[in-house]
Amino acid sequence: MSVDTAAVVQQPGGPEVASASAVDFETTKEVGYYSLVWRRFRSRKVALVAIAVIVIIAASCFLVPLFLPPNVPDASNPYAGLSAQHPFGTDEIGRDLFTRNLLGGQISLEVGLFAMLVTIIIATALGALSGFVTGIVDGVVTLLTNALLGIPGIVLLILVSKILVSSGLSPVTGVILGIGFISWPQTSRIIRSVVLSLREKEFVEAARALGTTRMRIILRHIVPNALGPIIVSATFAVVGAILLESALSFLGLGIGIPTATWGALLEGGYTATTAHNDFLYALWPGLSILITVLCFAYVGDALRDAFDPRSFER
Amino acid sequence: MTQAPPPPSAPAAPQPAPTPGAERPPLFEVNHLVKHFPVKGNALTGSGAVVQAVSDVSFTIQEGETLGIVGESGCGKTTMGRLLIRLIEATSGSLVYRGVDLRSLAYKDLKPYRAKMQIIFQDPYASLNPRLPVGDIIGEGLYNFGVRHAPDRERIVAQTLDRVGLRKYYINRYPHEFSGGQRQRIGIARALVLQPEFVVADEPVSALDVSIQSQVLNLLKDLQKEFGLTYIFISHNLSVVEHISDRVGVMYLGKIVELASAAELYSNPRHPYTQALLSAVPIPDPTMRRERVLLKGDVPSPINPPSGCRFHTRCPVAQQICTAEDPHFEPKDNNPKHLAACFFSDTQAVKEIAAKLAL
Repeated sequence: MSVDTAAVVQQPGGPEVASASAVDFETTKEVGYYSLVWRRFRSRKVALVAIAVIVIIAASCFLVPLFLPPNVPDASNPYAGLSAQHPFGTDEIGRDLFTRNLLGGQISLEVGLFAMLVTIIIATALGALSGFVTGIVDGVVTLLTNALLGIPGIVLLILVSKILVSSGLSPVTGVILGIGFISWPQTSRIIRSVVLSLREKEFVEAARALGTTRMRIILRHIVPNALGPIIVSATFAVVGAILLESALSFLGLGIGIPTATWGALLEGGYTATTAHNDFLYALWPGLSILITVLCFAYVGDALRDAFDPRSFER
Repeated sequence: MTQAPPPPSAPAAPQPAPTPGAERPPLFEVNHLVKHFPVKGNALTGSGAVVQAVSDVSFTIQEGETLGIVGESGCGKTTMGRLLIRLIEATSGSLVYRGVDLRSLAYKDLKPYRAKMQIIFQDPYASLNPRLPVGDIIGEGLYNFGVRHAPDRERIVAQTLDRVGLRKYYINRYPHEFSGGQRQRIGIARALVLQPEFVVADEPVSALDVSIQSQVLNLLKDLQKEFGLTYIFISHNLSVVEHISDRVGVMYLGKIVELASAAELYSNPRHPYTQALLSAVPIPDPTMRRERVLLKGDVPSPINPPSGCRFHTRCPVAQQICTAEDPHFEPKDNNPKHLAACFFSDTQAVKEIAAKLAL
C-alpha cells in the first residue's frame, strides 16, 4: 500500500514539505484525536437528530422569509385565527405571526451565537490566564468572577445592556455584549479549573524542560487540551444566551419593538392569551425556544461524553 | 544517529584544566540542596508550616556514570530529580553543572542548559500531549533550539525514533495509538533528540509491565553507551537500580542516608534503613531465606520530621543520641566512597546484619 505522502507529511511550516522530506514513509491511516471525538459523538443518535433539527430551524428562519411577501400590518385583521394564509394567525395589529416567528428566530439565534462567542472569548482568555499564571492575576480574576456571580444575572443584564444601548450601540449589539458580560464567569471558572490541572501534567513539564516558551506552552499544550470543555461550555452558553434574551424581551426590556424575537413574541402571545383566552399565540414562540434550547443541550451533552478523555486515553 | 544540528546557543562549558593525577571534576555537583513546600493553612493564620521534601542533600555525579536513587514513596526522590534541572525551584543550595551554578542563572538564561539536561518521566500516559502527533512531540525541542525547517526536523525525529526502536512511520500517529512501552520509548526519544549529556530518569520503568521493563532498561543502557550519557536513575525498585547503576544513593524523608557504589551498597549496607530495604528484596531461589529487618510504624510526616536522626523512630539500633543529634553523612570503614549517615554504622551489630544480608 502506498499513500500520498503530501497528505501524511503535512507539518506547520511549509507546503513543500512532502517533496523535500528525506524520510521514506510507509503508509498508515492516521486517526487523529478529533476523528475519535467525532466517532464517539456520531454514536449518539439523539445528538445527530438534535443537530439536524437545529439546522432545519436555522435554515427556515433565515431562508423562508426571503420567499414570503412583506409582512405589512393589516389593522382590519387583528388576532386572526389559524388559516391557510396565516398558519400561526396574526398579532394585535394584523401582522402574520408565522413570518414574525421566523424573523424572531433570526434574532434569537444571532444573539445566541454571538453572545456565546463573546462569553467564550472572555472566559477562555481570563480562565486560561488565571489558571496558568496563578498568583496575583488569579486572585484578581477570581475576585471579579465571584463579584459578578454575586449579582443576580438578569438585573445586571438589564443594567449593562441599557448602558451599552444608551452609549450608542444598536439594541441587538447591546444585548449580545450584555449577555456575554454577565455569562463569562461560570465558563471562566470551568476553564480555569481545567487549566489548573493541565499545567501540572507531565507533558507540560516536559515542554518546560525542552525550553518551550510560556506562550507556546499555553497555545500548544494547554488550550488544545482544554478545547473539549470549552466547546461543551460553548453549546451551553448558546442555551443560556437564548434564554436570557427571551427573558429580557419577555420583560419588555430587550431589543424592543418593532424587532421580533422569540421572547418578544412570547410576551405578545401572553397578552393575547390573557385577553382572548387563546394559548396558541404563545405556543409557537414558546415551542421554538424550547426545541432549540433542548437541541443545543443534547448536542452539549453528547459533546461532553465524546470529549471525555477517560473513555479513550488508556 | 546522525548529527542533530547542535543547539546554536550551547553553553560554552567552562572546563577547568584537569590537574594531572587528580580525579576529573564532576559533571554535576549538588550542595546542600533544600526544598520546602509551603503548606496552605487557613487564610487567617497562614500556618507557615512547610513540607521538607528535600533537606540538605549533597552529592556529585561523574560524567558518564549512572547514579541510582532509591527510597520509598514520598521520600523526596522525584522532587530532587525535578530540582536538579530546575523544573521546580530549590529553596536553597547550589547546583553546579560543569562549574556553573544553575541556581544563579535567570530562568531565561537557563535555556542553553535545557538542551544538555533532560528528563524521562514515570507515567508514559500523562507525559505525552494527547493532541500532538509523535513527530511534533519529539520535534518540539528541535523547534525550540532553532530547527525551524520542518523536513529537517522530521529527518532527525525519524532517526531518533529508529534509535529508540520505533518505526519511522509512527511519526504521524498520536499517543493513544501506542502501548505503554512504546509511549515510554517516545518519551525517551523526546529527551534524547537534543543530544543531552545529563538525563534524569524519574522511575522510567515503574509504570511498565515487567516484560517491557527489561527492554526499556536495556535501551537506556545502550543509549548511555552510544551517547556517553550521564543518568540519575530514580526508582523505588532496588533490583532495577542495582542492575543499571554505578553508584546508588538511598533516600529517607528528604535526606540521602547512604551512598556507595552499587556493588558495595548491596553487599555491605551500613545504614539500618538500607539494610531494612535490602532485606525486603525477594531472592529468586525458593530454598533460600533471607534475614528480615522489619521496621515498625510508618514514615513520619515530612511536615514535622523527627528530631535528630530522621530514622530514629523506626530504627532497630537507635540509641539516646539519635533523638538529639543529626548524624553526619560521612565515610564508613575509612572508605571515602562509602558514605552513610548513622552513628552506629561501624559497630559490630550493624556489620553483622550487613554480613547476613549479603548472603
